[in-house]
Amino acid sequence: MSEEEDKKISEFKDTALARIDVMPPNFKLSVGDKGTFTKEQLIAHIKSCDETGIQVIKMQMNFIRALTSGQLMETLNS
Amino acid sequence: MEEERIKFMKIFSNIPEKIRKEDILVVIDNEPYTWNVAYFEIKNKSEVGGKILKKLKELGII
Amino acid sequence: MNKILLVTRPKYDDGTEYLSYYAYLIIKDANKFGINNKDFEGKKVITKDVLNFINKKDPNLLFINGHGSSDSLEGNEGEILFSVDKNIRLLKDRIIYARACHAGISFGKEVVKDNDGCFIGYKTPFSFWIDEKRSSTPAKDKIAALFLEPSNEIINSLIKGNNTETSNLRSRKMMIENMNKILKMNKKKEPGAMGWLEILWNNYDGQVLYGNEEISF
Repeated sequence: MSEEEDKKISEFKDTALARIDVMPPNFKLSVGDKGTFTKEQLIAHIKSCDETGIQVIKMQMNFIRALTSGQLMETLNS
Repeated sequence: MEEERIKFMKIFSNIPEKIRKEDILVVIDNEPYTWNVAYFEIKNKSEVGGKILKKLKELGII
Repeated sequence: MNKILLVTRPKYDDGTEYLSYYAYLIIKDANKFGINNKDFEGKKVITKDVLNFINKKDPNLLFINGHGSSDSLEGNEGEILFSVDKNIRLLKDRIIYARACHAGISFGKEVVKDNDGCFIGYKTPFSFWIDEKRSSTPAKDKIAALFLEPSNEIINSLIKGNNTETSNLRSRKMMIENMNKILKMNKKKEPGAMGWLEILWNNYDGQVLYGNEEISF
């Protein structure tokens, strides 16, 4: 990961926390080979910016980039 | 920030209503902003609107 | 090569429990259609047993569930089943669908190098939301279904005789349908919709096919 991308991940952290915070409490997220996490656990991982936290942040950034580039809507309308 | 403002408006126009209303785009001063609220601030050229644009630019989102 | 479906479905955490259940649905269908299949379930996903079966019975379709990395696929409790450093040549000319993360980065490309096989998998973590209220009965978890049904469609489509390209596209089409379904959800009833959309997009974006697009089961 480049230094620039590292910086963006770090900058995105508070947005990632807010996005997870609005999830209903009865949902858990299975993240690849990292495990399955409650909302509270995801928040802890994001705050500590560990491997799991970074993975979740990256998925959120990927989604927002797909939104802003138009790629998501182009796909959904295809 | 005028260039970023125009970019944001263009992006916003293509975001579906449900995402605009519900999706959190950015956090500024510990406050979360959905696309709709961010749009309102940016359109009105508020101080927060300026901060939002700056952050979106730093994140490479616009 | 023989028309046999091999399924590995380890079960040792919440995520693999769900993957195992959904893989079981495929086995049920395979049995219903009279398709020869071998089910390695739970602790029986032992590398030497899986490799022995492949060597002896020469199955042409492998459905690997569980965890992975950019250069390997895992069985029970993290035991490496296949990796780019060992036994990858055993997989040549077959169809592999790996419902595991990251194997689409380099493992998948290596598997199909210089042969007529096909690999479908993910270059990002295959992820999904689980409704904890339903977690003891995955069949009733409509949210997890948004992610896992399109994934199952790959194998469903293959065992019905479609080729890998068609099967991949059918799966992708289902993901698009489910993303559009999410966009129509009522916020009060489904407050988690944005989170689901984001993860389903990542699965869609991360799903890759390498190798022979015209091969069928």
